[in-house]
Amino acid sequence: MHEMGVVLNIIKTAERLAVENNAPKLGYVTVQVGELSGVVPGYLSNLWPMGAEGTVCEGAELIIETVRGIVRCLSCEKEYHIMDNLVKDAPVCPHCQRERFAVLTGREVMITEIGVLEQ
Amino acid sequence: MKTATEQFKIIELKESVFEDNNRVADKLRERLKTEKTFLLNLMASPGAGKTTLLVCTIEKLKSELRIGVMEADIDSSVDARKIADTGVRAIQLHTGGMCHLDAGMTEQGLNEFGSGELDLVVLENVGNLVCPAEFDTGSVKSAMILSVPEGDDKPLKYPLMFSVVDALVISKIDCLPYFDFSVEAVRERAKKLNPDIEIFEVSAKTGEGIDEWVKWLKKNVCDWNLID
Repeated sequence: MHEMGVVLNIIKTAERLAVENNAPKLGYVTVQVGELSGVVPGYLSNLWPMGAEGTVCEGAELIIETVRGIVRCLSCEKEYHIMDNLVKDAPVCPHCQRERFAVLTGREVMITEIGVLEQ
Repeated sequence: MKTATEQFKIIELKESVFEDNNRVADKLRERLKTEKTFLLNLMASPGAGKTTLLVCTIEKLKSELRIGVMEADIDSSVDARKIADTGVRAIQLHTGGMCHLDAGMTEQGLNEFGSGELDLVVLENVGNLVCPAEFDTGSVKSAMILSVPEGDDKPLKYPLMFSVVDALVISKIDCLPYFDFSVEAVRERAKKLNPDIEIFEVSAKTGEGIDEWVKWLKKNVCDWNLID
């Protein structure tokens, strides 16, 4: 449900970037979506055409790259992939079995590239 | 899809999708600082007792602070009327189907109150634990309520919410005898996600724990507004 809000935010940002680059129309927009961001990529793709209608993004492709949720163990300092190391839904370090961690990647929802259609 | 016949000028960047919203949120916080208004973003799932806790909190603070409440709801004004009964200013924000408030909507709500007339504004966000966590509303602090009947596994299911809030209020603790809810498990899980989180155990019904929560809130309001 909140993916529509995310789509509208992508479009708002893309619109500003389009103006800054004198681009009347965009060919594609690439976004990185972290596994821990709570944003479901499939919903973004489905909602994209609806949000893009009537904007510089109309007809543009939305390319989604997933970013893995990597954390650093606060006990042994080693890094691990959180989704592969869930024990009863809670992450546990595969190296030292401790549970405290700091998130390194996976929370981001970023625009990383836009393709401007050359006239 | 991109085809060979189309030519693209590629612009590489690294900009958060929430960048525009974050900018508006930061500007709003600056404005609140100047106007000496503290904005609390209150989040919870439907039925956790947001409005009830708020009414209880308002009763304790309304003689000392000028309070306003913004009720965000998809489309009703049930909650705003309940708040208005306490005698503080309340407005209803309709999100028009959206499941969260962003900084722009919050700013519009604040504008309705007029500037600098309130010490504390509470934004009662739309009832859900997923979407509101992702959008900075421009609030100074944020708090979430988890009620005992919802279960102690919520920090595992909604990690983002628990990691972005400053305070967690465990509500309806008078119901503890009837539920398999471990306060300790919640504390441990929440602290793991967010070591700095402040945790309060309250019951709006019996009044238990309300004073600690109110004290925390008041201290934060005074610190922000530079009141002794």
